[in-house]
Amino acid sequence: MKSIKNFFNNIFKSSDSGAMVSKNRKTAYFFLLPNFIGFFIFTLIPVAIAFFLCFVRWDFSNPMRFVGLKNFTYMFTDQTFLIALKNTFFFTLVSVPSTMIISLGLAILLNKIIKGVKFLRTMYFIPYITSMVAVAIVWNMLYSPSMGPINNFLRNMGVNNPPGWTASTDWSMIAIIIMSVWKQIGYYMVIYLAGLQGIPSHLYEAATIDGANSWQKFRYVTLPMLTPTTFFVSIMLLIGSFKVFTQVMVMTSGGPGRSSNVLVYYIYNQAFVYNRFGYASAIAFVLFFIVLAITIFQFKKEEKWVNYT
Amino acid sequence: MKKTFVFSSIFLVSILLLATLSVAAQTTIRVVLWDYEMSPEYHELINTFEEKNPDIDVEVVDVTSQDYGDKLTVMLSGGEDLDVFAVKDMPGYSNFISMNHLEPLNDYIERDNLDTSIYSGLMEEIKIDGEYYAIPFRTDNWILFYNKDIFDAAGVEYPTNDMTWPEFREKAAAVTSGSGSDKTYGAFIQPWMSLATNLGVLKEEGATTLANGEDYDFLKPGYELYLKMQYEDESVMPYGEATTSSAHYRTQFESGKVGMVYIGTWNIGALISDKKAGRHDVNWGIAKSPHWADMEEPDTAISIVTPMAINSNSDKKEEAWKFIKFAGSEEGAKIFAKHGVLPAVKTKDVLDVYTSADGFPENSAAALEAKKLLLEFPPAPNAGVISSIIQEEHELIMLDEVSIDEGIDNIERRIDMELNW
Amino acid sequence: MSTTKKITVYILLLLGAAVMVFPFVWMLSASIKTNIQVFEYPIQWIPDNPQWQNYIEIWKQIDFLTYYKNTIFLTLVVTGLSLFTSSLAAYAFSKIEFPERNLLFLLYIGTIAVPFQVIMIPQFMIIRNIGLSDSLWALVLIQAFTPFGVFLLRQFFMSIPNELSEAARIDGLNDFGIFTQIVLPLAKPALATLAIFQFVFVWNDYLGPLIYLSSDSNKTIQLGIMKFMTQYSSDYALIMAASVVAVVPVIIMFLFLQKYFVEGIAMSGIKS
Repeated sequence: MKSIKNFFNNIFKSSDSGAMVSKNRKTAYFFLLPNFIGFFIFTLIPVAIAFFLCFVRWDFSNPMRFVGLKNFTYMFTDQTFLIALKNTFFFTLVSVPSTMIISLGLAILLNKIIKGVKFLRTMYFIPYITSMVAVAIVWNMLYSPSMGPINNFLRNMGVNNPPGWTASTDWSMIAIIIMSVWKQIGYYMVIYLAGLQGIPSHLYEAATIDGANSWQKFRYVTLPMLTPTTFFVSIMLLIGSFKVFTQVMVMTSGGPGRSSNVLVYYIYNQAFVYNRFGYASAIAFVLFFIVLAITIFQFKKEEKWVNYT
Repeated sequence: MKKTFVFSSIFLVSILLLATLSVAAQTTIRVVLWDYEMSPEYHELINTFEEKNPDIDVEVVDVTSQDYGDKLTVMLSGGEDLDVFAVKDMPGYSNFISMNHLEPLNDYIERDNLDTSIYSGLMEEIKIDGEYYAIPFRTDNWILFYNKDIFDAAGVEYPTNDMTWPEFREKAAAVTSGSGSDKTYGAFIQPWMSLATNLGVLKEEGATTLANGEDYDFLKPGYELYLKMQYEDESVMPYGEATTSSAHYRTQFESGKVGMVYIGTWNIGALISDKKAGRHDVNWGIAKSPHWADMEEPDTAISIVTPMAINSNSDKKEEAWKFIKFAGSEEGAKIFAKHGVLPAVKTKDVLDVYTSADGFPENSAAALEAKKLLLEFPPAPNAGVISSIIQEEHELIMLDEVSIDEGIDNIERRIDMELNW
Repeated sequence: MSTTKKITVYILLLLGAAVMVFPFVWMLSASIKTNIQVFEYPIQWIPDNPQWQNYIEIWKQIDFLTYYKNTIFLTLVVTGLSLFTSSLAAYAFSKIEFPERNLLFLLYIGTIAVPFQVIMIPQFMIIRNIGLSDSLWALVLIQAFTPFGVFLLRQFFMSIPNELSEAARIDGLNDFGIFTQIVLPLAKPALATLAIFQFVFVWNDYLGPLIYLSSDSNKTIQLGIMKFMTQYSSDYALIMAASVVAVVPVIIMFLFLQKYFVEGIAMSGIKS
């Protein structure tokens, strides 16, 4: 018990500056209550119910049947589940770093200019705020293998057999990744901008006085000062990418075949097409535990690399 | 003075009483439909029904076609207050029955002496375990649409009411011309799996259906035909092209760049109203669905039944029953026919209304008839699972990513696994 | 910064912006075409006979105005409630020490990972039992208490030095005073970011309204746009026009909030 308490304390140690602002439990609950009530009723309880459903087989209407761990044992022989798992990991591995790097790069560039900042920021933000349905239709058209602009451009550049994108089992996942990264970099750029603008300018002045060049400033001032933002961005991106769904549903329906099937799409399918609500919950909880493990891992390392002032 | 006062107050009170009585006596039934807003036939059906039944008020819950299955599942499972709903497809129908959402109708039918023969046997086709669960109000057959101008320009004879599928392929190749964005395709194949599976179902002539769960080799001839048309003849838009550019048979045909489309009779009403609205000026005709040369009864067509059902949880079942009976009656059928929707009741009177609609191609009534009708997909448990698996492998076969044999193998293997869950 | 450097930066940013905006330009172009022209190749960016009436059609063919009003209502209420309750909770998680803090916070973060599809049906049943199905309030209850908001704000509050609050406490402020007068003003960038996120999420949310809203008078814009996709055809030109109209208020909101959080940062007195 004590070691678990230590474990949590280590993960969540907040700052080095010692004394907390207040140690009042009552005050804490006063602050927490409005959000927590809603959270408890509309998130926590449904999660608990869904957890219970992992161990039953139920199609929404006929009586539930308790089946113990059968849903889980079946899962690991379920070829479609394994395909979805693989695709989801692939999606995460490629989209998360690319989004972080590109949006940070954009934020840095944008931070260097003054004229036209608002206009450019808005341009970058437009993909994020446009509805996914419209975006999916447009990108599908752009991806059209023989007539679409993307492949026309590639052919003009001398590529003889341009990819089939959303019409090909090899490229469908990549097509979805490209579109997803495109759609979200505006948002993460805005977050990084907020983070960048929170870096005190005197740090940069001091660095200049010490004779640092641009790269050194970036490496020794910008990156370290950005770590709380980067931490947040990485967690949200990781969790979000494991939950990828809408673009798959609207652009490819998991296809062609099952080549762009991802975990949440599979869960949705199992629940609404196959009416296997217990099994869908079980898959969802496997997803949840994967993400939880990664998140805990991130939090553990938080202390080692995140600097709060 | 006093007299007028007494008189007017009595008058006022009686008006109020009447008003409250009529409101109080009114029951409201909630009916779930898809694309209600865009369907004038439903508007007229409901208005007529309310006129004939002043004590019943109909409230429509409109759901978009795309989401109909999911939304209806959520509403029914969540116990929402619904009384009647239209059934969009057989897999959905089977699902809802296995989840006990549909009110069994045998008792109602017996009590009211409903004559089910007016539905040409279709009501029997959707019986499950000897019980009726829904009344058909519309049906659609799969037929051939063709663009007369394209055939004229190519000097090819129009499709006839007695063509084989290989002849269909020949004609498509014969009227294909041009290239790139100016290309005229001989035909357009809508990316749905039913385009291919229908050909297989036709060939089997009822010996087996898509719900058999074990053997799907009968799908091979349809796929062979389509693959040759796509990749050898190049007379149809390749599958990948069609899906990514969201191509749809209606816009394709109306653009005047496609010679033929094999699709359901629901397209007739759409073509007529679009032409009236000036959205196209295609000179079009219809013909019976092509068949296979070795069929015993070549005059067979694939049919889809759209019925209405009563929610087993409804507390206004009598009123709901009245409504679905009306929708499936001859009078209801005439309303549908007037708006270009092919009803389930196909008496001569009804068909006359249908074929005399302004814009219906001349001398084409024969195309609507068929000696034998086969359901595209029969009601069956696990129908949702089966059709979902076939759809996935269908994509791979049509894209030529897997061979037909491999695709069919996968279908059989995966269905076997899922059914043994 | 040297002029060549500046020019390179601008060029890079403009190229990037072009890539970002290209699909949106296609949407605009498609919105004034006829349905048949939308997918024609090669792409004709400015159609010969622009169908400006598409922008009027969308209001006529479906009850777009009602959907618009509903969406604005839903978005503002959820965003407001979310900011309010999340900031309070985030303060507790970052500035107050109490024994269960870490456990509770982990609980919050953990649930972010659970996909909506899983808790969808249990949530629906709870809402139904309190009689709110087919009501915009159902969506408010489900979305206003997001753990994500708490997480975002907690991270930001953590970086506000405790010295500030200590100083304020010495001056006689209690926790609530510290919260309202010290922490919140400094947190404007984070609040604006959360507001943007919530606004966009609710505005574009499709699955939530699909499940909880049935009557036409309650529907939102995203549901409305799908009405142009009927079983027998899809009017893509109208879909694009409706999508353009749907995106305009969000752009306005973003322009407005941009200014706000830039000012907020400029005013923040932390860095000294």
